[in-house]
Amino acid sequence: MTTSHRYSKTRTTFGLWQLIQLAPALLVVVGLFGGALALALLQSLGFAPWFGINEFPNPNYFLALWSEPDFWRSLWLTLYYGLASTVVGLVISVPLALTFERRFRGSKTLLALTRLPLMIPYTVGIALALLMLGNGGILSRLAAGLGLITDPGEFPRVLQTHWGWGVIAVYVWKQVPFMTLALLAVLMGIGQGTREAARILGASQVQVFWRITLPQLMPGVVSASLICFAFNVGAFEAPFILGGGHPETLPVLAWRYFNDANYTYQLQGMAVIVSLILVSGSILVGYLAIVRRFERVRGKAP
Amino acid sequence: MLKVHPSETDQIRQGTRITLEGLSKQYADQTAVHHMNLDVAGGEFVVLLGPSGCGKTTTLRLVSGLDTPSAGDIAFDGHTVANLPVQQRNVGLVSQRFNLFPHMRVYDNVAFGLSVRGVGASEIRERVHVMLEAVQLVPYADRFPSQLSGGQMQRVAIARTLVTEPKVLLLDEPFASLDTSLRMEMRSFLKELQRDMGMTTLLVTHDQTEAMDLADRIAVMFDGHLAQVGVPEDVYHHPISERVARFMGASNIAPATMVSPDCIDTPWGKLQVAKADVGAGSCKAMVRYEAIGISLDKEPLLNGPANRLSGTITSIEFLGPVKRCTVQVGAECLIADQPSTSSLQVGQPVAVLICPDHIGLLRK
Repeated sequence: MTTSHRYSKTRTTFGLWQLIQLAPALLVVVGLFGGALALALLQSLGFAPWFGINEFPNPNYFLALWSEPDFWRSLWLTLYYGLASTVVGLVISVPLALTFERRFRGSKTLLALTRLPLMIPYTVGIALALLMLGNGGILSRLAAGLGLITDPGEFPRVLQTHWGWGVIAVYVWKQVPFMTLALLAVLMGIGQGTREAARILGASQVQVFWRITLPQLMPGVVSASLICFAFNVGAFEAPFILGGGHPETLPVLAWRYFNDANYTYQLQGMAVIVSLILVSGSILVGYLAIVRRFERVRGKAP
Repeated sequence: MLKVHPSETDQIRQGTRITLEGLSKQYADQTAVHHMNLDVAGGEFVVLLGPSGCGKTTTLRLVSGLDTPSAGDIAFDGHTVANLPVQQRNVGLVSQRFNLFPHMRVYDNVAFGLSVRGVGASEIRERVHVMLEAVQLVPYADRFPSQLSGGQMQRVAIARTLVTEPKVLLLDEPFASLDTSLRMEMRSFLKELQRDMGMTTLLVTHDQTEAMDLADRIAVMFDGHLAQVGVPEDVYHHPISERVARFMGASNIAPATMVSPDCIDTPWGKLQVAKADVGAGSCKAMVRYEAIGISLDKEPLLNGPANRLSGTITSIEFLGPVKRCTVQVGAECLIADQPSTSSLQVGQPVAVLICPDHIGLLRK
């Protein structure tokens, strides 16, 4: 009991067998992902002999990009969409997971229903958002029909604004089931014991949540938010269709460069991609480092 | 040994009386507790004893407020607590798995109950320190639960509960996950603590030795029913039924017929009994192994009144502290535990001595 929660402190040497076990994963990570990453980095630094361009190493694509205020606006927008939908998703998922932790009448059916978006592709979600939330959409017609507004066109603009309600709505719609699933698994692992103990010691429900449940739920919160944030920052179709136009998020900006008639813009696009990787990568690493440091303080990690 | 706040000492010493009245808990497919009536005096130590699944833990959860009864009432000092939420009942519960807060240091675990009550920081520091001293955990105050041994975790769980000065202490198999020597140590620690603080205590266990060691009174439970409530000696030597008798330990059991109010007829012979309150007709008689004396015929009689039967030793098992002798008495055998230092031999004719006080009459 005393040591089971801690990581093993003994480390075996890395041998041939470990290499064989890791080979499939390594092949994908190093071969596909690493290769693409290296190629992107080379191109963004001016290496594209297939276009007749070989200026390697040329930092100008980055310098040009970073000196434009539009890039920084795009970056801000990208991070805003990623962060806002992750936070909104968590705010919805945590209570949802706590609700489904206990069995009640119809809980299985309800849980299955909330998981439905997991099986439906993003593009369908985007189409749904267009149908429901657009100015000529179902909600606006409903509001007009009920006499809340005189004309469907008066419906508040939800899609295609820089507030990104539509984008956030689609991300949240798709990711809440995933987050709930991850949090529910952690909650099941924690069990009711510590929460019951806290209530007996005199803690109110609110105190139990903030001081007992949430701190123990943090591993789930961290992993779920990391995965969702990373996906949101790199996602293309939702901001492309539901976003507010110029300035656009970085993936959309990169797509525009790639799609330009002037194919040499592809190198500029690669600089966008590499910049995005740098920013989101350092955010993720920083976040993980803080969490790890926190766990070390608690004596959980070596 | 334990210093509690002097202002609150007197109040605690009186203890809270617990009354369970027709308490029932029904789950979808089964009844966990069935119409239970139990009165626990202030400061009394009552052990709920029974096999697993008999409803004893459910009873504890009902008293704590973690579960709501399906029927019946729970009262502290005559006032019903049925509608009092868990956090306001002021009970303490130490469970088998301790349920320490893994993300808090030992100090914060112990301070938790005080800090959620809004007790001032300096008073918390003082009271937590006193409590950590009492359970000898001061050097471990900065450790996390995962860095403690089982016994230390349990002491944290006890300290965390006692620091809130609960009116009622509930213990759910608190020693189950400890090894034997530690269990004995923690048992005497807890006994001393309970006596010092005078808290009304309900302990749940399936270990009859533990129950007899700790309890002022034992409440034996089977299948959601209270089978017998009494002081340990009574429950042990005068169980109400064969089931209680067998659960409390090994014994000789045989059918018996009442001859007169203080005499029964058994396959072993006619026996004088002390407590003949089972009414006329047939019943069963029970004698614990160690309640039987064996003497060689030439030795003088034991002091006091005793039933004297003659028999022959047919086998002897050596069990360390005792020799377990099987004695042929009439048509039946009696098993008697003798000190392992006795020099009995197989085949010896002996006199079997049974004190009337130690013959239990079982109703069913």
